[in-house]
Amino acid sequence: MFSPEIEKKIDNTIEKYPHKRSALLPLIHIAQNEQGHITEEAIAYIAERLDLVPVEVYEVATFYSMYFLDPIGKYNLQVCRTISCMLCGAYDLIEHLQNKLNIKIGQVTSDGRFRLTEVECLGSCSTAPAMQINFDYHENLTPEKVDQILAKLP
Amino acid sequence: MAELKVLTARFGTPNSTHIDTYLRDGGYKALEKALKMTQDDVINEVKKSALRGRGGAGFSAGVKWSFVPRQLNKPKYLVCNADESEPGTCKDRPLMELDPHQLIEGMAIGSYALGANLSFIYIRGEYWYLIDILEKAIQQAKDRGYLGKNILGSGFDHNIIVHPGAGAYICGEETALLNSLEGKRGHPRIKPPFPAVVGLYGCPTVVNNVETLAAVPHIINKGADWYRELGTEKSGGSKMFSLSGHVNKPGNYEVRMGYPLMDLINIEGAGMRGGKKLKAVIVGGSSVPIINAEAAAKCNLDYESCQSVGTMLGSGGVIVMDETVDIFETTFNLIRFYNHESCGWCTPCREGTDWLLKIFKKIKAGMGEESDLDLILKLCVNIEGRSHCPLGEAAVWPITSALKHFSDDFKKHLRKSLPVLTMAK
Amino acid sequence: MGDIVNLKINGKDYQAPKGKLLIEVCLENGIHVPNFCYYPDLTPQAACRMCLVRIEKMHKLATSCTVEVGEGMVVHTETEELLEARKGMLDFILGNHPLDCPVCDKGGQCELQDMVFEHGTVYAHYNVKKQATPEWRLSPFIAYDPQRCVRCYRCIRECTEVMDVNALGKIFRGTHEVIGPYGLGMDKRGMDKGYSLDCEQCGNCVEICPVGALLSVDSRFRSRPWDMKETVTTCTHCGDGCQINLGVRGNDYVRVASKDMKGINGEFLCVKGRYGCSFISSQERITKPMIRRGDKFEEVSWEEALRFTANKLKEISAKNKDSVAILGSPRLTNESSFTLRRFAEKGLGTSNFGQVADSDWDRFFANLTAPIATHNQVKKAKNILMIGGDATENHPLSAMVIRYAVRKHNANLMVVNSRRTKIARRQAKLFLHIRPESEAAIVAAIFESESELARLADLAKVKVEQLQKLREKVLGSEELTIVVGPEVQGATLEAVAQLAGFLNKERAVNYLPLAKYNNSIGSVDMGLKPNGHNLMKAFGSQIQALYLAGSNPVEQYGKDWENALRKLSFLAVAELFMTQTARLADVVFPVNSFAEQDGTFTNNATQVQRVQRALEGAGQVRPDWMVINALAREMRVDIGAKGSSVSIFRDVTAELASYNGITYERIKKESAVQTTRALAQTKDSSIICKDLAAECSKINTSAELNKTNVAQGEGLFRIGTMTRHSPVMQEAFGESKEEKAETVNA
Ligand SMILES: Cc1cc2nc3c(=O)[nH]c(=O)nc-3n(C[C@H](O)[C@H](O)[C@H](O)COP(=O)(O)O)c2cc1C
Ligand code: SF4
Ligand code: SF4
Ligand code: SF4
Ligand code: SF4
Ligand code: FES
Ligand code: FES
Repeated sequence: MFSPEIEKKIDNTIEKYPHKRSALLPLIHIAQNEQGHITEEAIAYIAERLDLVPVEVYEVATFYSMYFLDPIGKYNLQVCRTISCMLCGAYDLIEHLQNKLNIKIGQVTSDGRFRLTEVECLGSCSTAPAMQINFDYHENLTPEKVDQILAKLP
Repeated sequence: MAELKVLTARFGTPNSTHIDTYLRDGGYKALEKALKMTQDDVINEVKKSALRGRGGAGFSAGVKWSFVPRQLNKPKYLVCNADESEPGTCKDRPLMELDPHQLIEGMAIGSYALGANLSFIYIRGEYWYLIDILEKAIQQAKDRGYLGKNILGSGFDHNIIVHPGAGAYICGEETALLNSLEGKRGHPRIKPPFPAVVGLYGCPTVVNNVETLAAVPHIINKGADWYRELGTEKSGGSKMFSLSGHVNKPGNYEVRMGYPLMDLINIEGAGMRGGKKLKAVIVGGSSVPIINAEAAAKCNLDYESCQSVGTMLGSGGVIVMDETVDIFETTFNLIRFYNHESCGWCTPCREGTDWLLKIFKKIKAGMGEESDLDLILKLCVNIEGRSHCPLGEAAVWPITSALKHFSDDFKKHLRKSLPVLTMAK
Repeated sequence: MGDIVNLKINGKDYQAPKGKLLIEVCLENGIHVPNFCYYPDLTPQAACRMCLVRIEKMHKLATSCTVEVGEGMVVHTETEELLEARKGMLDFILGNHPLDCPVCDKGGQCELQDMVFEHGTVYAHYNVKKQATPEWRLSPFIAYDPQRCVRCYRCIRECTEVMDVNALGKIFRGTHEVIGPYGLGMDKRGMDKGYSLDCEQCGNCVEICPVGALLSVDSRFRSRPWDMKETVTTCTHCGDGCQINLGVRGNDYVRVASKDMKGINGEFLCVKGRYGCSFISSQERITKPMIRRGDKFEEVSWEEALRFTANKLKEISAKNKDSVAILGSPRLTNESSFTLRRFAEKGLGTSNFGQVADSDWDRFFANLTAPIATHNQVKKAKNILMIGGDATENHPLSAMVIRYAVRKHNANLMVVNSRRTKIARRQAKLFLHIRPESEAAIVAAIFESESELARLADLAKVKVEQLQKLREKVLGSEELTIVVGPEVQGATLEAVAQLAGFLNKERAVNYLPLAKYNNSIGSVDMGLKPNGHNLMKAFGSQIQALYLAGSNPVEQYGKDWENALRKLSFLAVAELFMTQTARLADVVFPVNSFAEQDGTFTNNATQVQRVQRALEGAGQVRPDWMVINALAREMRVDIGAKGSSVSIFRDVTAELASYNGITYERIKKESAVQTTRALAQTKDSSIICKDLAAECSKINTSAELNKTNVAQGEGLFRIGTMTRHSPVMQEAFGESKEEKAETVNA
């Protein structure tokens, strides 16, 4: 169901592990990175590749906060809300983004460009406040800096 | 400046992630040396160094290694815990980003000591960009014969797999991590059996933090005594601290064990931001009791001293709060964190954090009463010591300590006049 | 094995096997330790934290459901500290719990409710808003109310470990965690997906749910547990014979449960047993005797129907006794089967009697050389040879005990089957996937010399190494349990029965025959040979009249039977429903279902179990034996008729050696009493080989392997004469309206 390169990547990932079920988390990542979110087809596909039943994949997919079962827009703005960032202004940042994008946390802008997500500590506490746009880190943020970053996104 | 450069020595080096610069700076010499030692000698050296786990629990690394039944006819595994998700902690990230070979060398030595031919780096999924850095470094090490078959002609085979997590604080707990690595939900396992005996795929497994493993090459190179003497008698070596919050220069700093907390704030951190007064510090990442300025003044950064002022060294995430901070708000922030991260397995943590969060919300909405503070403490008692894993307790300590030291911050949110109807008790 | 350790609990000394779970030691010694997530035989969880105890020298409270007892352990279970801890834990559980006991189906049978009573009033200080989550209907049978769920994960483990279905999982995380099937809560789509629980629908997860979180849709709101009368009786849907608690309110079926746990099945039931019994209260039951007038049936009085039948039988029998045939079925009670045979022998003097069934269990027992295994014994089996049969689909209890043996003691399971059954795919250590109807070749390979292996392997289309391995294992096993399926018949079945003797008797060998119906074995014991298909060939010639009880051969075996029945000059049918067969009758007698009568069944482990009256039959229904008695009286023949099932059973035990010593009282006490069978002589193996060679020559060597996997539900979900009339079974698995119309017209 994926392109040949991705299929190859999946094969390699499965092969790497002594027990193939270990490839479950990586495979869900791969599928999500390809399709934007986790689709039913992907769940069925992964289950088959790893000799699992779909509910076993689903259990895992619903446990981890980086997995999304619904479309998450082109840019997922994941703003850290935890203590160090909070001390350095994360709540203001979130407020700013909600107003700017006119969406609430967990929502996607109507053009499908942005999703606003609150996340827990990103491991950027010494460079707080921090945010991840998809996988890219942005740190020492201020509302102005966020505006500039969003403006530069393709 | 008391800052020490052991683990961080190569952080400024251009191209520090490349094996060429690592070798130029004396890299992989420790592995060479270790491979000529017996496995027991390597373990004893690490034991002697008083290196204690840097992941939070502070258990002696050497002792943990010695628990592995090496004679057992099953594969052994070493798993590097790079799940770093403890709020306030961001020290493992630069260790992997800026000096991946130091970690790889430490893992190779550890694996040799345990007889593990395969080891894993379980890295939190958010650190996606580090996977690439680590995998490149692993490939370089393979190309140069520091990983792969028959390393340096010793007959020892070793490989490393980098495994991404997917967003779950609980997967930092070692048995939840192993479940996650096996492709399951990250629920902690029942202990005993401990991972050293029954771990990954049912085989003996050691889980160590990134920083713990990164220290190993230095111990082998320069000797256990040298390392231990960097720190205190019981807490050997140097340690990384992530300084965050209201200081002028937040950042990751490596200091000797036993270094005064106030020096870290005032020297490395260049003092309080805006010249404000210090109100509170969380020393060891969010899961340890919060202390006030008075206790902070007496606190040195080692396991024993932290304990003497009523907190713990934990992971070394030092969160500094100035006089403007409302401790009710920071505690609220943390209970929300723990509720969000509770894996849901056991009753007290799943239900207790939910209930606590609801009470905090109620207080925040101005509906709180004096009795709610008692209720909070009662719920904390019901969780502490009764949950399946330490997360439940980690959720409780910040609350009980905050209520103890900063109860005024809570009281000012309470509703003044009592409502007409009181809840039956 | 098994060292014994000494430990102290609450100041008293106890001994227990080393390594046993502390909670089990406590419970077995009458020391109450509250628990939710602990469940016998399921993997420990340490999740609910109700079972906390204080063990001296441990710095924290310990979960007794995970701690194994050790020498010198000192345990406290009733301290102030522990009572507080339990109350605290109950507080947490009740926090989000709706406490809607008055409308909850589990009300009165709920472990949480009991626990709350036990601990007195629990603090009512949950002063914040409860989570409100809607109920999900997971399948036509099962609903889930997440608010009542205490997250003990019994259901998930039951489904994975006991059932090997793996349909349930934990979904979402933390406070939001729920249990459910794949797709549950998948944003809005999940709800639209409708029934998403793709499983065997056994309802065992519902049974072991300690609270009212998993619910049987079927019985919801029909009755409160306390205004329902429950009767322990035996399931009629397969040969395993599970014990069920049949709940009745007034004179209506409410539900089946298995909470009694004292029967052969513990709490286990399958979908048919649990949800397929509501047919007894179907509106379509026949309630009055009927006589055919032209194309129509007319309801008549019992007197008229009996007189009419008696006259017909007398008239036809007068010319030739053998021209009247009596056929029973593997579904009737022992008491009715016995009475049928007596009627045939003593009342009519005909030699044409038996039952409609396609099995050769009479030949099996005539050749049996080792005892029959009970299901409990199979659980402990070390080596299992399973020839034919699809237990998962047709003998769910047998399948469960076989899985248990594999799961708990890693039993060496060897499967010989022409179909890719689930057990073969998932539990077998060795699976010989044979050509259809070639079992004889495999059995022959055990009796024959090694030089024949290649030829026999070829016949069955299996690899010779595999056959070699099977042969070695069977010949070499110290202990062996042989499970034999209903498709194994004739000389092959006889050879299987002789196998234990051939393997030589000191070895512990036992058998489990997978007889299809609830009384396949009992009816054969009562003297009704499975010869119906043979007798059918004489309909219209030597045989002119037939009394047929409890069988629907037209639906089961089709046109041949229909044509044959039409040739008879007289057909009487005793039935529950107006079946396709009954429609051809001249007279139809309405009879009691199993739920409306007393009696016994003999299951496939040859255990005699009770059938007990749970409700009154509607209208004028009577038990089969009573109809026969009345008919005999009407014909003025003496068959030694007895007026109650107890006294008939006394006659049975007096007449049949294998039933000696069995009484209703004894069954009541022991739940199931196994019959004792005289073992047959071991025949010379050359004779067996010769018979098998003849069977082997019948193998169609051009037949290909059947490569498709047996689908879930192939047997379990098959709608039959009875389940058709169970509304929930019909809803879930029934024919669509068009299909139904077709079967009726056909
Ligand atoms: C809730 C919880 C979260 C944890 N998170 C981490 C973590 O992110 N990184 C880590 O190294 N150890 C973490 N730990 C500690 C590990 O369980 C384990 O003790 C550690 O990885 C052992 O390595 P060390 O001995 O080298 O410290 C966590 C423990 C708990 C209970
Ligand atoms: S304490 Fe919390 S995180 Fe740990 S097992 Fe229990 S629910 Fe999960
Ligand atoms: S009904 Fe049976 S098969 Fe279905 S989920 Fe429940 S236990 Fe599993
Ligand atoms: S549904 Fe019932 S059995 Fe399953 S976890 Fe919830 S309470 Fe336990
Ligand atoms: S296994 Fe057989 S006897 Fe048991 S409930 Fe199912 S159909 Fe009835
Ligand atoms: S608290 Fe925001 S990155 Fe750590
Ligand atoms: S019964 Fe022991 S924790 Fe649930």
